[in-house]
Amino acid sequence: MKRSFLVGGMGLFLSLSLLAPRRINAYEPATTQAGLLQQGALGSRLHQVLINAFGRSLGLFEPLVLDKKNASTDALLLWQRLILLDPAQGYRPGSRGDQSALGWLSAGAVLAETPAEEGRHHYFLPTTGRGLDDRKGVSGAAQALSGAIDSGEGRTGVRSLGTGMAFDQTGMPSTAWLFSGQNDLSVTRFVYWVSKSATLATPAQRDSALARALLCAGATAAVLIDAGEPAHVRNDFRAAHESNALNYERYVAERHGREGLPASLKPVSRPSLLAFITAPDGEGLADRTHRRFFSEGSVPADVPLSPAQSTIEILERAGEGLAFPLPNLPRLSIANDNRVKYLKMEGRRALAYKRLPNRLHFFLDEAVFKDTAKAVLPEIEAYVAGMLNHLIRVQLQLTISNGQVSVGAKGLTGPISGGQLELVWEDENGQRHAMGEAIAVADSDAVAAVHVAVPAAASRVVAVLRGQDHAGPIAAVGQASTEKM
Amino acid sequence: MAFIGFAAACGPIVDPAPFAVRPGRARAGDLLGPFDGLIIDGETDRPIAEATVEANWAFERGIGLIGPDGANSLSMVTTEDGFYRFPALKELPAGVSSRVRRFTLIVYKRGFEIWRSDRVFPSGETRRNFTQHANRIRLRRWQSGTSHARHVVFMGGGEAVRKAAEWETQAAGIELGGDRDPWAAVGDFGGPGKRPLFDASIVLTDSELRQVTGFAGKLVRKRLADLPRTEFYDTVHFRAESDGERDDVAVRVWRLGEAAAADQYQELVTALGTAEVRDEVGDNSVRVSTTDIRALVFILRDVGVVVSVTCGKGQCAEIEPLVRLAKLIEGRAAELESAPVGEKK
Repeated sequence: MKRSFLVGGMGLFLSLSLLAPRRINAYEPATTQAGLLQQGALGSRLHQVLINAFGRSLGLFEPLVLDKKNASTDALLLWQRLILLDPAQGYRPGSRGDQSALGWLSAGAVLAETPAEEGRHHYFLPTTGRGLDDRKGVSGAAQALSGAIDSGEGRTGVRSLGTGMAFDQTGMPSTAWLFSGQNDLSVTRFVYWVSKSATLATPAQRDSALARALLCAGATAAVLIDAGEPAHVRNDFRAAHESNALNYERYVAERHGREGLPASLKPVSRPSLLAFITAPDGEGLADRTHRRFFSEGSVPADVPLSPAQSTIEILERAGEGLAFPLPNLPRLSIANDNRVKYLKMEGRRALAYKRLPNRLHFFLDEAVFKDTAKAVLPEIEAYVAGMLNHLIRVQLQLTISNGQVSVGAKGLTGPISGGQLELVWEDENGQRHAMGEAIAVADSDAVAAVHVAVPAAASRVVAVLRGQDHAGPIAAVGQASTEKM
Repeated sequence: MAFIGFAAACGPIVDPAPFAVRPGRARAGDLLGPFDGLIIDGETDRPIAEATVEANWAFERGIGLIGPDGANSLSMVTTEDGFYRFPALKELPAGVSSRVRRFTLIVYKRGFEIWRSDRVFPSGETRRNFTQHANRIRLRRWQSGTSHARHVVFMGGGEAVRKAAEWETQAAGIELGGDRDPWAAVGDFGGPGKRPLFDASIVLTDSELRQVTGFAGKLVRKRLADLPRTEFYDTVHFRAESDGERDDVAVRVWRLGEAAAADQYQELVTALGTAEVRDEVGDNSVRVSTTDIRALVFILRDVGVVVSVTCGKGQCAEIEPLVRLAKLIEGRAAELESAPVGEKK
């Protein structure tokens, strides 16, 4: 009897220990992710494109309503996730389903990790090309337990664990997640909804479609933002008890929140969508973050010290304790002066270390967090701005002459795979109608060769180009009025 | 299973509050509330009435991977005494790993800068002086030159704040669109939604136009199709059947409020490039002339209206008729300020 009490009590203690507040090293979706995206969006061309190509006069501040009355099942499921968001941050839609374009974009960045388990697909390890794999980790056990005991609508639970739906501490690489059929906010869905935002019949339908396209763009940007988070590119799924010392991500959330993040640098330009995350030139954001920053779970292992050891031997042992070749430890000051010292890279403090009586201890402290944030946050925003520009890089120019419309495409790189050009015309009531079947196009010359008669009742003609070129998926829109002064 | 039942009965975790219970006290407050305080004008120290106050609680869920898990929001508008009070949160999230993560109070009053309990505008620095009880909020008057776009993005907020600040999103949108070409032919990708649209049809009648220019041909009154009509922008297009654009007259009107109108006017003047500054109509005005068209752009600063009048040289061979048309429209400043909204699109 006594023994069974002890065993049961120990089990309960262990379980409660796992349940104590723990947080893996990840940017806080509600504040940091949304704020980085907002700064990136403000630094991008999206505002101008929404005005000029999409005819949304307020650009990023244009109100768009997600039509709930006529919504499909997937839209209703999406709505159930949207109402979980924090109204104080400005991106939760109103009860009518209304929100600004920037709000929809920001909401997408948060929905990308709502439910939280979706965040498992935001990892990418540049050295292997793989995603998260922490099946043996202690933090994984806590996560599994959390999933098992939580209950409620739309959540993982005992049943979902039994049916294999719950989180098994692995995830697909973020580069694959961007295009995955399991991802309802993927790049593929972005292209689809951009197309629908132009071709659907009624203004309300087109509003809803544009809102959903922006959600997808925001979620895509969230994946990129996590490529600028050291733990996400160093397979570091370590969860820290929140009562423990401050970690980098918590420092960023508390110091900057959503509203206090630095302004974006000049948008980064990359040759393809995936190259924003990783590329052979090593200039993807994941590549750069991986080789330049330590995460808390990938700092060098402590080096035991003995009186006979030389400085060179200590450095060699420290190097052997690195989880990855970079960043490395080119030099350390091993003087026994009981002071915290810093490994400096690019003029910033990248790693803290201290000589203790019997070991050399490596760690990250607030000084490292501060310098890391100062270096990487504006860079993330510049990559986000660049990725948003990249998603809308192709421009369509429509010319109406002699009752016919022709289309010019700018910004294409090479042939178009699976290219389709759709034309619709708009009547005086704002209803849009197809101008025949979608036309297969293989390159910009094929686009330019299209000439279609414009109906007499048309007040506007709109074109949509979908497909893929060397730079990635294409979602381009253009339009022209049939009259102008 | 017994353990699961036990754990579920424990209720949600409430994170430590990052604010004190009262001014001058070190003891932390309670994230659940209740909350009370006073809102005053930072210059006069007088209570502010009709300020929108919104209280938001955010919930999260998860151990390790953490994500949003719902929210609760309450709002009120202050009366003459400037006080606000919100009861303690009663509806707590379900689920063992659920937690009450944040409480954010937001105060919005037109003419003042936004006030948030977590951050200070415009620096974005962490606010240190918010307290659960007896909180004293000194609203700072709106500073000339402050960015509306930055203000709106910083503001956040739920439905109550968004509704109170709806007018400002227009100013923000225009301010951010600094490099767009206002004359470029752009399209309508579905229109501006279901907001009431500005109706500027009162600016000029057919007979007034004919009296000024002496035009005797047939005119069809329409709207321009170059930019979509919105709740702050409308157009009138007198389209002549006789000689194409050379006999056309068009009026574009932006009703934006004082600060945004100044931005829009400057944007137009910059975009026009070769504009000749004359300040002969409204508070400021410029003239532009091309091969076929004359244009005059002016601003009525007090009423926050910008007007562009273009006239084909068939009707406006000289500049005088155009100036007279513009002055006629200027005389309608009060009517433009209170112009009706049209049908919902």
